[in-house]
Amino acid sequence: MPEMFGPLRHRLLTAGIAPRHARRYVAELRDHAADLAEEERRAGLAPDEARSRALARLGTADDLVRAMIARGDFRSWGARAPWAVYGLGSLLGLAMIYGLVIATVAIIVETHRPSPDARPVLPIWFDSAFATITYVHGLALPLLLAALFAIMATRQRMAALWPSIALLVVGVIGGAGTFDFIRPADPDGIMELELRFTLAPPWPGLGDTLRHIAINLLLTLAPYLAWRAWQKALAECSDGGDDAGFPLTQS
Amino acid sequence: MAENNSNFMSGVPELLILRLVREKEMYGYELVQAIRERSHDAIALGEGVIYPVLHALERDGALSSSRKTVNGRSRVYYALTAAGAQRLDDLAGNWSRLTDAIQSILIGVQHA
Repeated sequence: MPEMFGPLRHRLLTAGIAPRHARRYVAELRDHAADLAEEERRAGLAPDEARSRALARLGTADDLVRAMIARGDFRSWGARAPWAVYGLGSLLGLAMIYGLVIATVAIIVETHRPSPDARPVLPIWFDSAFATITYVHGLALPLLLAALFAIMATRQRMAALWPSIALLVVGVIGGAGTFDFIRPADPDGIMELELRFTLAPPWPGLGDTLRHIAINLLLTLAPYLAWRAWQKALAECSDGGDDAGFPLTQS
Repeated sequence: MAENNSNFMSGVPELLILRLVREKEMYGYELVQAIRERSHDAIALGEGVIYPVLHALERDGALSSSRKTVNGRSRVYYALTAAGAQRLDDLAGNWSRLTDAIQSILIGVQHA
């Protein structure tokens, strides 16, 4: 019996119901169907007949999905406002990554002041630490952020448009921004942390940036779109595809 | 000014659920059977569609839920909260006023 609830869960998710609500609804329906089947068996029906009767009493898939959709507040934010979650969310995620880098460098610098008013004396490991930070910032964090959006979109059975936009934004902007730490030649000069976007004039390091963006997109957007295409092909090969209706019982 | 009753009938499942769980905590299957038995089969809620109502009541703070294993079966039990008790009083009061109003109209029609 449990395998029959998978398609129902898929339909709920496709309709925009948040994964946690869909999971809980299906779990309780499964328990309920088991109770109904037990009741029918006690009434003298054979197990198969009891199971069919239980599913018929539970309701049609259309009714079950409609009852959940009718209460609009069970929909995920990704379904209600995809432009906010995947559009603004990708920009916010990138801003948080930049903020994290700036905060990390600032903490290292500020914790190496001999006294509150003295100039920082950077430790000998600072250069290697900064190189690691810029590497994590440039490649690892954008990939993690993109993976987060891809997983979220997959769980919510989102249409490809907004998740693709999010992956594109993260891949391009995440690959275009680079940090430089500038130590002044003058001992009394000011240390600077510079954030450069190489997709803006005067196009510094454009070749590296384009390569970086291509790597980001190849590791995030391309697999996501390939997975989507594969899922679509699987659905078309199955009985009537995802949205052809789930025959918990025939209406 | 009479209040708008347009949503009242859609609140009947809520009213019945809140009333039943006031007596003891219950799980979904148990609630559907209790409604059917106590109404002598006059009211038969869709077996599966009761859960969105339960989840909405829980989200609104009218019910609390906990998963318990009884006789080897794990089930989600629903219990009435203080906010749910207040909501039950409100719904029951509305229902009484509405049925009284309908009854008085029906009696008036019979006497006419």
